[in-house]
Amino acid sequence: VRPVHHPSEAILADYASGALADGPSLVVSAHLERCPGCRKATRLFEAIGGEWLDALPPTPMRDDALPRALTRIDRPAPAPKPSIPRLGPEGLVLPRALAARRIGRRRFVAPGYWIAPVPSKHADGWRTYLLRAPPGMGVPHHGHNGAEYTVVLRGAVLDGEGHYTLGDFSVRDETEAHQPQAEGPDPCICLITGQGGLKAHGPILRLLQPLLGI
Amino acid sequence: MDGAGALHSLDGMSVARRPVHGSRAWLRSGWPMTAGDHASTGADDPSAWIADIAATRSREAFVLLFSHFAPRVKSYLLRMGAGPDLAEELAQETLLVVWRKAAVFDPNRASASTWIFTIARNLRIDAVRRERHPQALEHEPELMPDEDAPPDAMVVALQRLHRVREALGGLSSDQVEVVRLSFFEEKPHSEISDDLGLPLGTVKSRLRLAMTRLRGLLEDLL
Repeated sequence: VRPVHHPSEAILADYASGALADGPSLVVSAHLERCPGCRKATRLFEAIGGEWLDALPPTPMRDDALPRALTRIDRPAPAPKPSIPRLGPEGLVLPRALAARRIGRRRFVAPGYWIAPVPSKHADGWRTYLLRAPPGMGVPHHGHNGAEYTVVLRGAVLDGEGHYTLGDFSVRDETEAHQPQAEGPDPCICLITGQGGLKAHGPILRLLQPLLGI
Repeated sequence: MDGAGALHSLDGMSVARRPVHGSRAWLRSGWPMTAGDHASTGADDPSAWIADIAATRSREAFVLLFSHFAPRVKSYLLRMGAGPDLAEELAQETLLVVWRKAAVFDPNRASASTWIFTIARNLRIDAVRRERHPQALEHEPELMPDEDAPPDAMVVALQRLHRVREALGGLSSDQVEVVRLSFFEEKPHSEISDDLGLPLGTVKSRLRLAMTRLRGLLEDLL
């Protein structure tokens, strides 16, 4: 089943050109892995980048650049990172983008809920984490202090009118409050990245927020 | 496909003669367009050089590839804000990755210049720790080939290069400006919106129109 909720062209363009921060880029990667249509669009943006590269006026390399390069290619290459699928918490098959990343310890924040942080490569104000919610349960009504990107990795999510299943992508900005919840008989796991944290709208989330660290 | 060699054979115009001074005047005015014959692969085709490296570890092919791309990758990195030392080093590393990963290059999926662009982009993201761009090599789902290249892959690739260039030339100047800022100056859409004094929605819709048009023109190639 292919995803039905996609990143905008603008987001894919930012991804392809390298303008997305680490967290959003992870979330978009996880979507791309499951979405041939968005991979195509991304390839197109990359093709534009390639055309541009090729048309750039060359800047001379240093005099010893080529001899250095020829020496370097003779050295043995470091062993490639294994690209075997890696399992995360609860046997979750991690998206390839996450396979080489450290996943922090799970914090069990309420019955059936946990959060596992994905440390960013850069201190850039984005917090990225895996969130598990039990069937029929979700995150209490909240807003955001900045953008939030989400991709579903297991189960299904009901968010407002939208039904999100495996690989579906969503983005919310600071003007949008919501109350997403796991839909159907199974728990859900999402990869979420957000800028600036949540704005809790109710007492329960306000109480939990320090524990959640989001 | 790709790149450089292809430029000579396709356009009959050398890279050096393109109107590239200063900023991206060439992009604003569109890509040079030709009704080329995209026949010849081989001696001056970077895809073929990469194939040679994959097949025989050809150092000659590497020298050709290095001579063409390292100085352009360096230009790219300089424009993206890297200092001269870092740009030199990452240009070296980009070509080193090309050498090591030559076997996974699939000319049926991307041109040599596109592939090299993605390698340079990823190395830069890892190296230049500016908060705006951190996307890493291991995020890149596109490095995995999905299928074997058919024997005429080079010809297909050359045709694609040509079509991409034509399609870009067909955009309106408004659209080109937004695509240019988005890609080539690597700005988030909010900044583009500030730069051009346009509402964010307008920037997004222009980009969407541009991409819809490009996708329509290129659908069969992607």
